[in-house]
Amino acid sequence: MEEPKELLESTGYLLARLGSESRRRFVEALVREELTLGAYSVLMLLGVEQGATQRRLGHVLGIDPRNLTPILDDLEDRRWLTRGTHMYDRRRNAVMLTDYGRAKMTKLARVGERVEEDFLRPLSARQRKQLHALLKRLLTGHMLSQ
Amino acid sequence: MFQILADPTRRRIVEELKRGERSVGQLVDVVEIGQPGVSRALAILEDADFVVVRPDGRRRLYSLRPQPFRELSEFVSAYRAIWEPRLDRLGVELERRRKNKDHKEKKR
Repeated sequence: MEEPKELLESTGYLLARLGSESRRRFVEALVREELTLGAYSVLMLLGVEQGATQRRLGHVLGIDPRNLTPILDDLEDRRWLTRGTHMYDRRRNAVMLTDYGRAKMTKLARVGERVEEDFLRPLSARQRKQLHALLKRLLTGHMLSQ
Repeated sequence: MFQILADPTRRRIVEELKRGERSVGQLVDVVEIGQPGVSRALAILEDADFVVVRPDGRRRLYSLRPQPFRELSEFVSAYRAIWEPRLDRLGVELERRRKNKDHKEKKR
């Protein structure tokens, strides 16, 4: 690594640096499927909330409606998802993964695991668990204090 | 990084941005694919930190970030050790052939 020693002593720097490295690897894996991070987050949420409304997607993912519409248009054109009326409320727009989209997401989950495996390779199984537990604790702490 | 530039549409966009900031509309005109395709390509370039976007009134202007290109250049430079000696050998061989030819021509 080329960084000055002083930087490597800062935990905040290490977190930022590793965060961007991990993100970069994930972006490159998604590119193979011509997906952006935004599109992926939409598909992920639909995977657990089939039929979520457009408003719900925007709200949970923090995507501006103006930016969400083109993402949904593109994914609909490519048959990853469809839009229809909501099961209980016909006035609302529900977004659903297609069978094709669902199959693709299953495949992508495995890709994600491989990316993570590769990223954490320098650590032993035990160290990975430790790191994960510590990071989770830190995140929970910050979420509570917000 | 190579994955990002493997796509011809994304490469066309990068080529165009080399000349300066462009709006989505301007890029659609140059790249000659539809707006959704250009928007997706730009979003991928943005995710990968190849471009940055800044609002300009109602438009969004895209421009290149130097960092990934610096990294690509460093990556390629690391292979100079492989291709430079080969070019040197090629140079020596060409020189030898030229001299040989001169020699034959003198004999005639």
